[in-house]
Amino acid sequence: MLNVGRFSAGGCSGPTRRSFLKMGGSLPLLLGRPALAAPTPPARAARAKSVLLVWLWGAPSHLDTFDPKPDAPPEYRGPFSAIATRTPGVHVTDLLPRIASISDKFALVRSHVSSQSGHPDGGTVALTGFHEKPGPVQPNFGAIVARHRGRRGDLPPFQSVGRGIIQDSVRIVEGYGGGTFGKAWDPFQVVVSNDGSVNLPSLNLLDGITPNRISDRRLLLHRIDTARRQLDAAGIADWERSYQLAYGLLSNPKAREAFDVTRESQETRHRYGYTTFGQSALVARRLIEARVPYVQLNWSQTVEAITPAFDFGWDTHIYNFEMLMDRHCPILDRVLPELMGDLETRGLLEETLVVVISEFGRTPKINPRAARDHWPQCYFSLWSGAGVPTGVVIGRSDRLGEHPIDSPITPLMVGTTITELAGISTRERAEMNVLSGGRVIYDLL
Amino acid sequence: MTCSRSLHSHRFLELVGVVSLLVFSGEAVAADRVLTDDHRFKRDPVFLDARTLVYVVQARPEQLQLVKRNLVDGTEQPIHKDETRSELEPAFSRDGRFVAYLQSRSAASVGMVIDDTREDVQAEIPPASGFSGMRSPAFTPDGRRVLYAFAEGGRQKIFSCNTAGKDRKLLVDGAGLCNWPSVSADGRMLLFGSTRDGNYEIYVAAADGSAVHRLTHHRGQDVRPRLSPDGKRIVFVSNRDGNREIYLMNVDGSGISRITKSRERDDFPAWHPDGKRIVFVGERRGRFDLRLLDVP
Repeated sequence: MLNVGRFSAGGCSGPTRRSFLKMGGSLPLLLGRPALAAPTPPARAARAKSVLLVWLWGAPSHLDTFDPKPDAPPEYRGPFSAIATRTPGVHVTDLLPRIASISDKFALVRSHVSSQSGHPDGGTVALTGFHEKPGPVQPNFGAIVARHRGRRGDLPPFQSVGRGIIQDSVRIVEGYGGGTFGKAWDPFQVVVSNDGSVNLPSLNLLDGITPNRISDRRLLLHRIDTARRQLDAAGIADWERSYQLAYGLLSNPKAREAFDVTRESQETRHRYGYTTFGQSALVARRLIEARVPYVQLNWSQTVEAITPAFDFGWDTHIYNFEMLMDRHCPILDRVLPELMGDLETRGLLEETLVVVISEFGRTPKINPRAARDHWPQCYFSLWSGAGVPTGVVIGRSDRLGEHPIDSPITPLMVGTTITELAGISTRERAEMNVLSGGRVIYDLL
Repeated sequence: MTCSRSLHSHRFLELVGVVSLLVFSGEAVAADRVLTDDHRFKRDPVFLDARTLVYVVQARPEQLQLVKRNLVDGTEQPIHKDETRSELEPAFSRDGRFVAYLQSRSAASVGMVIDDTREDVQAEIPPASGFSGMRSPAFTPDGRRVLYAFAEGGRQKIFSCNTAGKDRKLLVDGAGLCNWPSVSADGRMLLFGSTRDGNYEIYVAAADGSAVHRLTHHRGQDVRPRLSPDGKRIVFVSNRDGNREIYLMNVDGSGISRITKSRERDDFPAWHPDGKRIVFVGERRGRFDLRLLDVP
């Protein structure tokens, strides 16, 4: 069966990719429909033409990564040594030597606070600035930027790269998408495997159409009509949008290329590493290069598959120190410097805002299981590109890493700053009825 | 036919596709040979015997799987073909009768299983309630007890139990986290890693956990120690020179030397039964494979 939404990036498994391209060339003629594009608002000055939000789902320990406390008591400190970074006086743990060597390329914020300690709720607050309840759920920062920019060309303006909609073992993060804007502004999901293969689930609506049958226009239209009849009114609207996206992507080879990492040199692919996060980062960089306004790069949901059916991510309630040392930090320390260096080398970093952040931090005091639990009272982020100051630390935590001692920064401030740098003014945010009451992080402007 | 000669025959030779020369300060000291070519993430290799290597692969994004490789013909097969839960950190009794490993139960909950392959009996040590899990099982030389690490009260301690998973005894306690226990072939020495002095270092103690003595002293992380079959040397992993590499030292902590050097990571070393080689997981060009290295 032709697998419309998937193509291999392995280079050797040509059939699926060839089918993808072949079908792309056929559809416009068969369907006789033009590519659909929303009106484009007038462009306005923006320091960040694109935003790349690197979402460390699960919440990494701030003490064991970017806010070490070498002088704290042993029950807080943890085993990792603090090492100097390229920024004088600033240390990270010895799990991150490569990132330490590029600290002059980012600002490190150590004074984030959140009001939610559960993953889905915390994720929604971190990605929208507001609680899930009482509803309605507010739009993701990416949906705000996407709507402001409008749809241009065939690449969706808000894309989520990783292994699907972020979720924990119970439910999804409600703030993953369009929120009050509607599902039309949900992110376009780009699912990436550790070998770089890409699956675009929105395109699967045309699954089941074989190369033989695609030559029969009546059969193709019949299938589309059948699919529509199976949906309710709300579903039809969503289906229409998905169909438009699929149609646009299938009919535009240039747009499709953005997802195809086989167009990268082998050396580039090697450098990112063959992990889900590594190859996802490479896809994300290609999307930024293709001028997608907002890309959310998600940490793989199952980077250390110790507990299946559970979205472990950085959620290290057990084995915190071993897992950070063995798996999570080596991956992050490989991918992040590569991604930022790649953006810089290609001249993209100047016009791309990169934000590395999570939903909260982890308990400074080591828990009874010799690991760390959720801690929304203090956590970190990294900011780079789009003219933000680099080689600086913004905000400080106290001696145990429990609370900020200055400049507490909320998720609402994060969203306000991201949208401000993306060229959305206070007035425009008010007109869009988003991020009400938010203020920017002045130190980043 | 000796093991070594077996390894140099048959299909194994075909799998040895890459031979790389490790150079230290301009001096060639050792060569390693690639045992696998699937590039999947791997960990926890251990020799069942000279012809059989057991290790863990990331079979699916959500599953770590125990696999067994025949080093003579190069074939690989899952140990538990129909298992969907993650299994990791396998250990075998010296006679191969018992195998212990970790097995996931539910969210952040990992138990330990001890299989008696002769009697076809399985013992389980379930995790404690809530988020909980064991680590790093290892058998005593007589095969009667299993050592493992388990966290409670904010400290990760070393315990032992019998092969029925009963009769738990505390061997090593103290500040921080203990892990990677093993016992010398004569049954007299306990080797383990611990953060009791701040960062991960390597320690020895008497078999009952008394008389703890520190072997390494470095602000980097010295982890995953394993005793050579003759009990004279210890292979371990350290980031003391930047990234993770494999090191050797004498059993008294002297003569530390690095035996791998790569811009990428080398980790999870295990001794070959002949004591002249180690296998480890090497990351090269972003991919993971098992490599066999002659030790100096």
